[in-house]
Amino acid sequence: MGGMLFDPTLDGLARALTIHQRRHDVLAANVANVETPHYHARDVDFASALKRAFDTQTTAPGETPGDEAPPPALPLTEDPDAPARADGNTVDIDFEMAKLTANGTDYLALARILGRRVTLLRQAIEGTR
Amino acid sequence: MEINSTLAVSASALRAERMRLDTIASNLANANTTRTPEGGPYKRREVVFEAEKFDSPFADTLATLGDEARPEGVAVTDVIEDPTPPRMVYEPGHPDANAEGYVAYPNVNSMLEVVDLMAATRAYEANVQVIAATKRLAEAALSIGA
Repeated sequence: MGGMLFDPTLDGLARALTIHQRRHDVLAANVANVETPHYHARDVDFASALKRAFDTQTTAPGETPGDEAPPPALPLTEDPDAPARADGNTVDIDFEMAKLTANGTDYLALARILGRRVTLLRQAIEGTR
Repeated sequence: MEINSTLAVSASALRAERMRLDTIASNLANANTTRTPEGGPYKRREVVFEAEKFDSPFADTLATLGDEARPEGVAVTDVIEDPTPPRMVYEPGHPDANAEGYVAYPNVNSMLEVVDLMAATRAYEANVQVIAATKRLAEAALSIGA
């Protein structure tokens, strides 16, 4: 996306939102498997995921956005030092719920900022009334 | 966005935990059952949980993200019988007493079952919270620019 109308901020916010959504997905799976023997808790490193999203998905000038490469594999991380319970499960429910809440709050904040920017854009198009 | 698959993962956990609750209820209800169709006293049952790669309507898209990135739900793959021996209680007057006067009661420990019941309830509640959080995120996404 280029030009004055759709500034890179919108694009960046959208990508960050997508990663937060994927992270929510992964954390939800951890909570779902809180009682599954030998399940290892996983997470998404937000910073490196965002970097990858920008490195591989930026469309070069003159290229149409439809030619974008498929989204890169999500870098999932496992904490090798996480204490395992007797059944080999490493999910810490309090930790996971805290991460889920923090990630959700970040998502809501970004969604709100994105919404404000869209509102700004609309006001610029329509003019103030 | 994979709101649906996130909800499906949480829903699979709710289903699994509910099945665990069913099993615990059955164990507690039959804590003193000395006769079963298979013969002998009731045997304590236990569910086996297994992580399960999830197929969603977005499975094709997800496949491009690599198999590892797919969220894993929970499935109850088996309900096993606890192999521990029955509790022998001396009750010579009981119709199911053996030659020595001992009755084989189920290997159900009520205290253990109630602890398990609480753990299952908390796990269920945690997943309900996740569903609520997922819903909030979806609502925020839908109201962008509204």
